[in-house]
Amino acid sequence: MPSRGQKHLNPQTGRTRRILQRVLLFVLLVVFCLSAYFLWSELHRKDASEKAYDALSRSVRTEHSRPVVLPPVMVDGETPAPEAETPAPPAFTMDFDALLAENEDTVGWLTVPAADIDYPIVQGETNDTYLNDSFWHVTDWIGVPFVDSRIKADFLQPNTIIYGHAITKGAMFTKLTQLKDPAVVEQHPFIYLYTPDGLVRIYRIYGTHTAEAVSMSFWTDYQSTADFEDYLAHCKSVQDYDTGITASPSDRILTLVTCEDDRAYRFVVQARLVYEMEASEAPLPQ
Amino acid sequence: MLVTTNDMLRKAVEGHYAVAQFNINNLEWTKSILLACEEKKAPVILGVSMGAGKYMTGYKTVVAMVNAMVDSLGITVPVCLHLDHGDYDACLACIEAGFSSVMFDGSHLPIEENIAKTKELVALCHEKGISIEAEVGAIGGEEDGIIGRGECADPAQCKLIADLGVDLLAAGIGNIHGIYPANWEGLSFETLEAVKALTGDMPLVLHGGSGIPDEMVRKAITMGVAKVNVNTECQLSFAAATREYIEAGKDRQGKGYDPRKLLAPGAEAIKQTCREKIDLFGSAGKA
Repeated sequence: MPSRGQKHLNPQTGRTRRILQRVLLFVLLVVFCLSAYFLWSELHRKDASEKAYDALSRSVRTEHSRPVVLPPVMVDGETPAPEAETPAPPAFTMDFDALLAENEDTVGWLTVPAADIDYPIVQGETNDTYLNDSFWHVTDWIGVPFVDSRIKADFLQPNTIIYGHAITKGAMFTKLTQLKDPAVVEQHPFIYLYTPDGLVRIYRIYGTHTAEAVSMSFWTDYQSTADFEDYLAHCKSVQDYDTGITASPSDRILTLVTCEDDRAYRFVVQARLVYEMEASEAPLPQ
Repeated sequence: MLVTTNDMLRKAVEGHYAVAQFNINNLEWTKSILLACEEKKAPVILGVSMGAGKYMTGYKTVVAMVNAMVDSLGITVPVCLHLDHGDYDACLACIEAGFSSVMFDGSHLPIEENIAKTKELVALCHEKGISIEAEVGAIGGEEDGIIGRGECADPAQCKLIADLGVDLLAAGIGNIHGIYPANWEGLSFETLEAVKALTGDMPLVLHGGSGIPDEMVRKAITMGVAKVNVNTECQLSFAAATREYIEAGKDRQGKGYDPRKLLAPGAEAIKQTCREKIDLFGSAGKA
C-alpha cells in the first residue's frame, strides 16, 4: 500500500480523489441551498400568513361614530328644540359576509385582548380538518382557530371549546399562556365573541389550567346538569389560581385550548358568559 | 380647596379600593367626618342630600361651612363636597353655590328623559370643572322621600348613560337605603359584572352602604365599585351613643346638659364608624 506521503505521487488515485471530493462538495452545496430555500420559504410563508391575518383583522371591522339623536322631551314643562346630533364613542360592525365568502365554515370572530388574539373562528367536519389549514384553505401550520366539531357552534351550548395553535412567533393562541399571570387577566379580563347574527358575547375569564391531551377537560357530551357540574368541578380542581369567580352549571362558558411547549400538554383558559348584545352597540374590546 | 371626584376615584379604580362618601347632617357630623378621615389619611367625599341641604339652611351655607372648616381644622386629605341624589334644580343650585361635585338622580325617570337631562348637566358641570354622578336603576328604600324597590339596572342602559361622559355611575344592583329587611336577597353581582364589562374604567358607585354585609361590600369593590355611600350607619351609631348618655342620666349631672358635652359621645361614635368604614373600603392612607 502506498504510504501517505506517497499517495499523491500516484496521479491516478489523487485525481479520482479530488474529483470525488469536488462532486461530494457540489452535492452537499446543492442540498444546502435547497434546504435553505425550503426553510426560507417556510418562514416566509408563515410571515405571509400572519400578515394576511393582520390585514383580515383590520378589514373585518367597519368603525363608525354613532350619533346620539334624542327624541325631544318635556323638560320642566317646555319642549326644547330638537337637539343637535352628538357623536357617541365609536362602535363597529363585523363584516361576516366577507368572512363567509372567503370561508363558508366561519362561525364567528374571537378577540382576546389579554393575549393579542383577534382571529376568525371556523368549524370543520372533524377536529383534524383545520389542524394544518389556514382560514384561506392553504396548508399552513399556523392554522386557524376552530370550534370542537363535536359541539354545535351556536354558542348556546353549556361549553364551547375552541382550539388554536401555539407557535413560536407569538401569533394565533401562543400568547394565551400569558394568562398564567393573574395580573394579566386582571388588566384585560374579557373575551369578545362575535357571531354572524350581529351579536357579541362578552365572557369573563375565570380560570386557567394545563391538561393532558386526553383529559376530562375536553369532555363535551354532558347528558345532564350533574354531568356539567362534574366537568366544572374537575376544571376548578386543577385551576392555576383563584380569580374569585366560579362558573355555575347554569352558566354558558367558553374554553380556549392551545398546545404547551411539550405537545402532550394543552393550556386551557376558561371564561363565563357575562353579557350579550348587538355588536354595533357594544364597547370596543379592552 | 374642594376637589372633584375625578382624581380620587381614578386612583381607587386602579388600586382596587373604594373611597367613602359620608353624608353630613350638621356641623358636628362634618367635623367628626373630616377629623376621622384626616386621622386615617383617607380621601373623602362629603355627601349632602337635598333634605340635609334644606335642614342646614341652604347649599350656600353648607359650602361656606365646609370650606371654612377644612381651612380651620387644617385638613390635608382631598375633600369633595357632593350633592347626593339631586334632582335637576338641586344640581343647578349646587353648581351655583360652589359644590365640587353633584349627583343627578334621573333613575326614576323614563330612560330617554334621564339621558336628556344627564347630557345637559354633564355639559354644564364640565364647563364649570365639577364632576357629575348619574344613576341607572332606582336604589330601594327611603332617602329624603325618594322611595324605590332596589331594582337591578339594565347594563345596556348603564352603557348609554356612561357614554354621555359622566364621571361616575351608580348602578342599582339590589341595594337599598335605610335599614335592610331580613328577607333582602343580597346584591346582584351578575348585574355588577355585566355593567363593568360594558363600562370599562368608569368608577361605579354603591349606594346604601350601611347594612350590606362586609363580605359583599369587599366583593363589590374588587368588581369595580370605587365609591361607597354611608349615611344610615353613622346616624345609628350617633343615636345609640347619645341614647346611652341620656339613659345614664349624664345630662343631669353637673353641666352635662351643655350641648358640647351632650353631643360629644355621638360625635366620637360617628368618627368610629368612619374609621371602620375606611378600613373596610381600603382607602386608609390613600390620600
